[in-house]
Amino acid sequence: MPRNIEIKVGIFIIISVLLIGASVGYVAYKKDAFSKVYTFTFMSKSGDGFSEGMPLVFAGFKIGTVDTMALSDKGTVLIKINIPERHIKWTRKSSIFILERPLIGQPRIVVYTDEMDSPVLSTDMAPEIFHVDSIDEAIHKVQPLLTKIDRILDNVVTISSKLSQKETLMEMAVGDKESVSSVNEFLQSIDTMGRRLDTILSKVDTVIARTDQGLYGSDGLVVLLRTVLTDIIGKLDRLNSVIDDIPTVTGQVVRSTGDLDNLRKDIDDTIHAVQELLKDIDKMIPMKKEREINVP
Amino acid sequence: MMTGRISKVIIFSAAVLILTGCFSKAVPDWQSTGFSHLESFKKEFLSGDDERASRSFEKAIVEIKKSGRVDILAKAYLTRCAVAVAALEKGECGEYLQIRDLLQDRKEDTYYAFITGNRGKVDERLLPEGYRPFFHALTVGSVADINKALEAMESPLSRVIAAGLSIKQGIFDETTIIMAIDTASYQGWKKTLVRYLEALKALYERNGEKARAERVQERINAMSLKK
Amino acid sequence: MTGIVESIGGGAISAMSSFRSTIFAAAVTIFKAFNKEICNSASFSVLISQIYFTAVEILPMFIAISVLLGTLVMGILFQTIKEIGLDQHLGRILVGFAVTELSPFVTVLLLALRSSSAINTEIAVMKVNREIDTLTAFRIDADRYLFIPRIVNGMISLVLLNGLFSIILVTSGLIFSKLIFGMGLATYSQILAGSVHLSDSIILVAKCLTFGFFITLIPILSGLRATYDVTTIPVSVLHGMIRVFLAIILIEVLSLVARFI
Repeated sequence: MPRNIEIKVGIFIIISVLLIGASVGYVAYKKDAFSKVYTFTFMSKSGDGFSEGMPLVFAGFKIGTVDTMALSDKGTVLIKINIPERHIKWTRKSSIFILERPLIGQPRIVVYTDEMDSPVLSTDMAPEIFHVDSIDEAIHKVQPLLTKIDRILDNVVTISSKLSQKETLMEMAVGDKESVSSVNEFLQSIDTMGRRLDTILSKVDTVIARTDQGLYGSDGLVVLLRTVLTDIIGKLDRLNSVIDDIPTVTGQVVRSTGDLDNLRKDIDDTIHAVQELLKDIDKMIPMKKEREINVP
Repeated sequence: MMTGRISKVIIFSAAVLILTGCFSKAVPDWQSTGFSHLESFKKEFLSGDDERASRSFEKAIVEIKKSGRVDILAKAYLTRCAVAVAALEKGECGEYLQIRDLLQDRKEDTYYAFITGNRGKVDERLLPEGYRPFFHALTVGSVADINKALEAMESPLSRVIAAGLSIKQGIFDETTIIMAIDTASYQGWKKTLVRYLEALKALYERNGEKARAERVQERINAMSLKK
Repeated sequence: MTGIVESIGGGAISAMSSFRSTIFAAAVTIFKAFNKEICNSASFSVLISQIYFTAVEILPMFIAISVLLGTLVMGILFQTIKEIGLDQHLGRILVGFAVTELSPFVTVLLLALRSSSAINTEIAVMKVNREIDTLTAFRIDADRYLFIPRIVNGMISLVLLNGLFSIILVTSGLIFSKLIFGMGLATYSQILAGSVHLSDSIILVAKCLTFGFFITLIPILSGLRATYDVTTIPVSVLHGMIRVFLAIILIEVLSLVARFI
């Protein structure tokens, strides 16, 4: 056999093998086949919607894959997710993990990480994966609450306008400087509350655009909203006690006007509505531990 | 303008509620209301609004009783007892003693022994974690360690309770009282603040530092417990 | 009527027996291929020359066809994907259709057309010229010197050429993804890597090896079926090529079944 045939075959085989090997190696590198993969355990109340091979996504990029799922002794579902070493930085202790099942397209687990200073997730933690089935369902759930908020805001507006009309009448009728100053304080506080609401509102767009924006921290929006509502309820409570005192001071004169009775009713309604809303928010704040009654 | 703001508030609240609503399991009504009332009680009591405080406490007890949970009821009673210690008052722990036999856990008894100063009956391992270094220092009798433990405490109320305990047991110095004063002042707990100022004044008087005692008294006068 | 039934029955029986004898021969060949004695310098030099005729000689034509076909297919494929809005399935289509299906199919067709027919004719001619009988008379193992090097060559050549074809396809894909979707190398390779699965790659290699094995074994068996009459040579080649194509279709179907189970 001529020697040049052997050389040609040799060159062919070497080049082909090198090319194929390089291509396979490149794809394997892109698939993180060479990087160390860590397995994290996640917890979910239900295994519904999870499947093996499901992607874990951060900012639209796949950073991990569901490896296995198992039912724990406590009845929760343990989900093991493989994450290559170079992607671990995206999963922090403060990250929120949500199972998204869009109406169209593949379901996926989305990581929301806001605080990059928070410590990196370690393999011995088992954070919970929350379910967000569809926006429709969520809106359906929240509809009655929306009506409540609407009513509260209406009442606050009514009260403030009535109070601004009645201020002088009350001063005349009551003759009690302290009560009147309480009413005034309330009127002023409407302004302060307005400003605080504005601060919150400046964050509204961000919240709607990015669901991970500081919802749960001590300065989180849920806590802020709660504080504002508590403030409203506190002021209204004080106003209520002022109005309680009015009849004793003024006797029949004021009662006969009927106006203050109506005002009182408005305030009662508002207090009740705000209290109900506060209860709802209290129940929803995901800091269950903090709501536990414990010795100080 | 107002409508715009209202609609924004609604959108915002909806967003918050959607997000939070989907994430968490609801806490039972009695628990969340009971918790709120108990929190109000602590604040009102330490601030000196005794009338409101006792109303809040009663409301909290009513809520907790709805659940029939004796352990939580015991915790509420112990809370009142502990808060009294924080305000350097004599703790009212009688209600706890009435129900202690119904409890299965020894944790509450240990806490009771701890806040009533019955050190011999305290099982250090069963104490809330935050108190352990303090209790250790208290047992050893080292004021420096007590102050160090107080400084390390995260919860302001726990710090003031611990300060109250060490003052009651006579193992304290000026720093202990000043730490309690700073905490109460920062939190706006007026009654508690005045009590510790009085304690500080008494300490100065005992030490014969008249001028300093007078200055503390002036500070107390300037604030006066009454409105 | 009876005649028709008889001929259908006869055809089926002969097809079955041919299939059985091919499988039997395949088993025997695999068994022999693992025999240590098969590895000697003579059979190695046959293997080298076979690889030269099968893979190296056709390389310029193969690359030309790959570039032409690859460019055309990828161009049309990407344009269609864009038109019907299946952009997000680009990776899956590229790997699932182009790399794992189109590439081995085109490679095996090219090799079968060129080498299978050549091997079939060569063996049939050797049979007619009694060269194989001569080898037997000299107690030279024809399996070792003639058949196994050709079969191993078929397998090696198919895997290597398929690899080259796939690389050319993917490279044309890169060019068209840039032209049609404005996609860069990073995104393209990310999409590609995301769509490659180990199981698919194993099936692909196994398919290429099986293709290479049968497109050389069947022509050899078919060539050996020729008698000592020169006129049987074309008949043997005709039958051999039909069987090769049937085998290609069968393997393709089985690989598809394996992929989608």
